[in-house]
Amino acid sequence: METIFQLITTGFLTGIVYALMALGLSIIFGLMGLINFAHGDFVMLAMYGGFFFCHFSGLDPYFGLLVVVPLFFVLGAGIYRGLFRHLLDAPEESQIIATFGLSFVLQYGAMLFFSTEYRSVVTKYADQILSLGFLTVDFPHIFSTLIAGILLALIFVFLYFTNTGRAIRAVSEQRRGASLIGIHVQKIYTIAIGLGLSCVAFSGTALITFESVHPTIGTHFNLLCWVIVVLGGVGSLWGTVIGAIIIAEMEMIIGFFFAPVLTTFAYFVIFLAILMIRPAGLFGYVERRA
Amino acid sequence: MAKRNYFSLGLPLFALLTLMGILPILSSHHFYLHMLTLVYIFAFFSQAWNLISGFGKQFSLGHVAFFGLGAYVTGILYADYGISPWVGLLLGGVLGALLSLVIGIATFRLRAFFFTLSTIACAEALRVLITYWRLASTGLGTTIPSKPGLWNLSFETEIGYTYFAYFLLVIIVFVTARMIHTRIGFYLLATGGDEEAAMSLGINTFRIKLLVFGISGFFTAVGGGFYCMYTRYVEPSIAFNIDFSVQFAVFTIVGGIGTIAGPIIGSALLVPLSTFFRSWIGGLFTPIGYFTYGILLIVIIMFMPGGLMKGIASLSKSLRGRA
Amino acid sequence: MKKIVKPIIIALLFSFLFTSFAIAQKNEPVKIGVILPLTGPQAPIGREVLRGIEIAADMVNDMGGIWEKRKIILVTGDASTTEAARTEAERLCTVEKVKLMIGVYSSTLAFVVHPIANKYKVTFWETNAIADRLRQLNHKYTYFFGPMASSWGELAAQCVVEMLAPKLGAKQAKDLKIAVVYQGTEWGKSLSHDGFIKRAKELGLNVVIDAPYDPNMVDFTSLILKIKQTNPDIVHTQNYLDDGYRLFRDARNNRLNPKIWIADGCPWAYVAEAFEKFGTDMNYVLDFNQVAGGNIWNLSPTTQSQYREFLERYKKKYQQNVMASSDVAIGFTSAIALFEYVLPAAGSLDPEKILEVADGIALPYTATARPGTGIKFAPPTDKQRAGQNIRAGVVARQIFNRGYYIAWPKEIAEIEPIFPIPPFGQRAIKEDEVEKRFAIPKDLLLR
Repeated sequence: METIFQLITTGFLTGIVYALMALGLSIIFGLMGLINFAHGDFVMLAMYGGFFFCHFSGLDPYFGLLVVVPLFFVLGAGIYRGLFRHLLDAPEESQIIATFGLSFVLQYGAMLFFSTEYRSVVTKYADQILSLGFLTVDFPHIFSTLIAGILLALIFVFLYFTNTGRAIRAVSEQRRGASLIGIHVQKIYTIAIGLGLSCVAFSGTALITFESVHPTIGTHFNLLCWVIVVLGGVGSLWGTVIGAIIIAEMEMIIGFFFAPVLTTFAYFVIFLAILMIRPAGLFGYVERRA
Repeated sequence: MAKRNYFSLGLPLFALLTLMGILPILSSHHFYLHMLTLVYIFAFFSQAWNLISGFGKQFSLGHVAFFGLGAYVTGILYADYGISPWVGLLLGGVLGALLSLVIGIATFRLRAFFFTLSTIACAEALRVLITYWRLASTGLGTTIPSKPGLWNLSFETEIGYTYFAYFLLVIIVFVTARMIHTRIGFYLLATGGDEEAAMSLGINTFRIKLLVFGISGFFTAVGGGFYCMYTRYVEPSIAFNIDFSVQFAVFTIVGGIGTIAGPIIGSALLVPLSTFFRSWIGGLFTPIGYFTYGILLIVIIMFMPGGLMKGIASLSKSLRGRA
Repeated sequence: MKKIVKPIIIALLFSFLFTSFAIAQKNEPVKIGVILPLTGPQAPIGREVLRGIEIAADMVNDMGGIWEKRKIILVTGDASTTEAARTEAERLCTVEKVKLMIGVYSSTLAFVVHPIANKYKVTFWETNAIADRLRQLNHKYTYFFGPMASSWGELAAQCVVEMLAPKLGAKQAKDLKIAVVYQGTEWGKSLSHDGFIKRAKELGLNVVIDAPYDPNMVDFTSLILKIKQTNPDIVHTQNYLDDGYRLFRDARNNRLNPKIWIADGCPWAYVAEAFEKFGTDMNYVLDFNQVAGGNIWNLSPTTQSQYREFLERYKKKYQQNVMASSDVAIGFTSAIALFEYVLPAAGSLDPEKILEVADGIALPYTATARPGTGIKFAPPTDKQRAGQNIRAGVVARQIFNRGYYIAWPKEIAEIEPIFPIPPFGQRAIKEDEVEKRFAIPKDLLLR
């Protein structure tokens, strides 16, 4: 019984980390309708960002957020101006192919600049464990959950209580209508992408505190994030969070009761099941043509 | 308009295929033949991919699922049960087509990118499943014994494999050409162009996509079976490696997606090129190959969606001063 | 239409010309091919093996070369993926025309590369791929310097019975519960499942869980909890690098504390990073491996000085010390054995001459800097292990404060090991405590 509780707890904590990762994708795809197949690789870059910050400053990667987040915001704006803007109205295949190419550029560029070795960070609290009765929780996960909570709160406040936030939501629902009432659509999109990539920065920083980074891990993250976004429902941020937790719990359960080898297989089955039963996902709304 | 033969290949393509048929005889050097085999078989795979992803505009990034399926069916049947690879190739192909039906039924009524995601997830799922199965049985990797003979699809000399790959390539090119110039092709291109418009014309886009995807899956699996016999070793991490999916896509796009010659051009160019980068420049510069693929993909999609084929064609058009 | 013909012809000519250029390479004296993963995920290890081989070649060349003063030149092939391995092997054999290849490190790559060497009658000197079925391919000119999975696994099981069970005070080895966790790959399966578990069951040992896992798995908690449920006395793990770190970390986080932790064939257990991550928690771990280097106190004087020279050269060239059992030493020891014991007597790269020499070699473990490893090859007619070095050994070493001390087999033991081991977090140990357990005089041990 205790084991089950431990499984559920660890699953929840892992799910929060997944949610952090998938949030950026949910924002960019859900709010802008842009298919990005390089999302996982941006997470990889963020992890390198956290790593190098720690490497050169000796400080904890979370302090690096002050540097990495603005950096990624700017990176997002730049990618938007340079590439994504042209893709918004392009047919879907073009979006897929172009971002797929972007994925290569990021992965192999990382290989060229950072080498293929696994890099990791050893934080001061890496081996600290918190015991709550029979449950154990490790500190890196405690911090990542706290950070995720703060980030979600910030995003919520931003989207629902600021003018820019409301503008973003308006544009996502009705692009033409929004521009008709004077919302500067290009500017809004730039901010939205920046926001999405800032989330990525957060997730990369959290991840590097307990995972190693390697140029090709983005591929795995990519599939994971997409499955989460589809499960949770396109356009719903809460759906993403809940979807992430569900996926993480499922991994735990399958790994424990069946075989660790089978968890990836489960993604596919779940994915197909969602698509056949309820393509909008748990909390998404029905597709609308832009 | 040039005279069209029954299969509507057109003269340039026909000349190209004939040239490729002659190349293997020009030298018996092993490496040369090995490279030719690779070029031909990848042109084959890319063409099969091109059917659904190029002409049909349903972009698959998980075609390796079919490849691996074919490789495994053929490999296991031959190595463990002594059944002729010809049977394996056929059976693998059928299973590949069935798999494509599964994915297609689940996703073809939705947005195109759901299909893409499903193909990726499918390839990964198969890899894990087969790994699990093989871990529990005799061994993860399976070596294919070499007993030369046409019935065993094993050849004494390298050139046998080269010509078999060529044979496969010719088949897929004819199938593609035939399809494109008939009603199915028309429906497919209409679907790819604008699905809603096609539906409004009364075309059953769902069925067309299923049919073409099935054909694509079938042939990819057959090719996978051949590849297994050529490499003589199969293991899940090889047979379901995402690298293959990527290569099929990149070769086609660079050569010219949605054209018949595109995949051939792409393979002919990129297979030797990547070998060159790896073997002769090598070392730290190997990632440059894929890095360049990435840049190429972005650039091509943005500025030259028709790939090299159309790009060069329009370039020479403008050079000659025509509109 | 004509506009389209031109680019097509150009593209084809380009590829045709390029490959022709490739073929027009000239040959050079005593070219030896080395095929290893030099880029890609296994690159860090492949590169280290290459360095070892290079140093061996340098040493031989500095002494004048082999045969009549001919220098050895290494031609490398990058087996970054299996497809690349295939092409590179073909290239080395048919374009560079090498008659002898050293490599390829991983079993998966070996399955692809060995048949190609065999096809062209090129001698293949395998450094450490372990899969049994490689030996059963019965290639006439392929030699396996390192041990094979089944004997490795058998030795590990033997160690459990001989040394570990008594140490735990078990009346019978059968009373011990053993959890076996391994990477779900060819490498993992051949060693842990086909080797260790099979032999363990034959010996009547109680294997409570047989758990392969996907190397890409991110969180090992579910696996750890599953193992914890069986309450094992011994945890036997076989992991690579990153998966090893994750497993160990999640074991620590979930307080999986067996009485003995065996790291079998785990590269992660002997790299500096492990110590940075886990500090003193690495102490008491029993590292089971085909070892190269480390302590050389019981080797012949020639082998000792040879190995010392290797260490010096590595330090000079790369400004680093060789770790207690790194892949560079694997590369070095296998290459130097080839250059020293086989090639000179063979007189040329003729595979038949090499086979003749290899057939006749019989050297004890003092002849190589791999503890417990001598040289004697099974003949190519041996169906189960053609070309296998039947004197290849594996040793068990216990880790203390970044040092590795051989605990088994008894004949070459350096330390009296300590079992059961303290739980995670309590594994700090003072240096003089460790020294008290030495089985041989302290000054004999090489640091």
